[in-house]
Formats: sequence, structure tokens, C-alpha cells
Amino acid sequence: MRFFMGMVMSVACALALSSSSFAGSKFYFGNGKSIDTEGKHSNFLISLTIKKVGMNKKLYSYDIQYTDRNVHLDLYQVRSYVNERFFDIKMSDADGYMDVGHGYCWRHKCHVNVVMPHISFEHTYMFKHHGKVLRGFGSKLDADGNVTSIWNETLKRLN
Amino acid sequence: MKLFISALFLLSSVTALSDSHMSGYAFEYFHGKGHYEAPNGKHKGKFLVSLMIRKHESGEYSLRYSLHSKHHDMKYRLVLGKPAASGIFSVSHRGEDVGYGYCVGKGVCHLNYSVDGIDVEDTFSLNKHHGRGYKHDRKHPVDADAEADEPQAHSGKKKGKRMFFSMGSKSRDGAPLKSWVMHLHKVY
Repeated sequence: MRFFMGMVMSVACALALSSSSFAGSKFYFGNGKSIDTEGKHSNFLISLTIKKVGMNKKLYSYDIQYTDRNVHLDLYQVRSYVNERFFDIKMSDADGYMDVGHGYCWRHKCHVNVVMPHISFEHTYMFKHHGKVLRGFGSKLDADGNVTSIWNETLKRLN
Repeated sequence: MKLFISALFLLSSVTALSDSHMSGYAFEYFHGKGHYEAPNGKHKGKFLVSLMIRKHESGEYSLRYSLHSKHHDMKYRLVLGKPAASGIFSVSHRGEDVGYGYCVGKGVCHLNYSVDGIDVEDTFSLNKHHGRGYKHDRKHPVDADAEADEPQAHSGKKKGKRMFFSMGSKSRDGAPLKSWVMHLHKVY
């Protein structure tokens, strides 16, 4: 019975991923661990969908969902490439889009710096195994720029 | 005579280096090159770099960089403090606490610090060379992901040799100034 349910779930997931809403997008899912300045560990789940925005080759959306025991975060970013290497990051809010940071890539390794009213972080990530795996790590900062926690994560591409 | 003096010099250098090891602290010396680029795409170039990493008895590490490019010569030294329970350590420059850093397995570390009003973030790794090169790909970074780390023909570097890789950027008041990447190999 469990095997059957598993099969049904797998087929449902595969169908969902191949449906039009994911067409042309890259969907990653994984988990990670964070540790705060007092040495307390916690685990989290994370998903990431990278998608081209419209027909513009310079615009990509990064839809990130982060969940741990206490927090659920939805971060929808639009990254606008200045050139092959550098990009600006905007996030949607009530008034439209606001500039929250910038990033760059050298081949398959990238780094972003994001400063928002409620959360600030820096994040380094790299694509491995032909883009099937995304490994990343970063640190969160408080309003004064002091580090509050560090984390690392591994995501796998599901489509 | 020249050969004799060179041999003597080499011998004295080796002795000095061995003495350093024996006097209670170890160091590694790396040399290599890198590229930098500004977001406007116009301000870009190459540089040569050497780095000495020294481990102190106190558990601190010091990184002494010497950079040389067409327009600049720069030397600076960072001291990385002993990690706290969280793994986070302090970064200091000229005796002043200027930021923090942390490491995530396999010799990969990240530094965030600020000197003279310029914010610097730097990701570096200390790993052994795998004896392969990487495909040069000028596609869009997002699209290039899939092919970017495909192994190519042997790059000619010695397999198993300790390598230092750094990727970082500088910014002022949140505006990016430049980004760099550098590859160094161990010479001592």
C-alpha cells in the first residue's frame, strides 16, 4: 500500500512539474542546516524556482521558499542582468519593485548581497553535476550589520 | 662562482623556511593570477597575486596578500580569529576588528569585512587540484550552469597539488565596484 501511495505521489509530482506552470523553469528542492551565534543548530527545507521573465533574456525570477520550525519565508526576486557577470536584485512589495541588492557569477559560482528591512543576507552558491545540484552557504545579518547565523544547503533539481 | 652563490642563497632560503616551521608556526606560500571586472564591463583586467597563509600558535590564521597589476601594487594582511562555538570568527586588519568569517566543510570559507569604507566579501577554498580543467563558456551564467563544470582535457597542473581559489567583490554604500576571481597554486 505504501509503495502504491509512493508511486501515486511520484507520478503526481512528475505531472505537476511537467505542467505548463513549470515550463521553461528550473525547480530545485532541498534542505539545509543553520547555526546561530550561540551555537544552536536548526534544520530547514528550501525550494527554488528559476524562470525567465517574459521574452527578456536579461530578466530572471528567483522564487525562494524557506521553512524551518519557526519561520516560513517567501522571497520572490527578479534579477536583472547588467551583463554576463553582474545582476541587480529587485523584490516585489506593495508599491511595486524595490532594489534590494546585487550579485555576480564567475562561471557556475555566484554570490548575492541582499539588504531588506526585515532580513539581510549574503549567499554564495554553485551549480554542480551539470546543474542538477545546487550547493550554497551564507550568513544572515541584523539591522546593525552584525551576523546572527550562518547556514549551508544542498538542493537537487527535480525537473 | 655565480652557481655557488645561487646554491648558497637557495640553501639559506630553505634553511630560513625550515627554521620558520621549527620555531612554532607553520605557513604555506601560494602564487597565481586572477581577473577583475567592474559592473560597467569597461574596467577590467588581470593581476598577479601571492599569498602567505600562516597558522599561529594561538589558533589564529593570517593571510598576507601581495597583488600586482598594470596600474596597482597592493599589499595587505588579514588576521582570522579563532572560531567561536558557532564556527564564526573575527576578521581583523591592522589590529582593528573589521568583520567576520566562517567556513563550511571541505576547506571553503567566506569573509565579510569593511576597510576604509569599502565593503569586501570573499569566498575562498583551499583544495587539492583534481588534475582537470574547466570549459570556458561565455553563455549567460544561468543558462551556462549545466555545461559549466564539464571536465576538459588535462590542464597541465599537477594532480593533488594544493590550490587556493578566491572569488569576491568590493562595494561602497551598497553599490558594487568590482568583482574578482583568482587561482593560486602552492609553491611552498
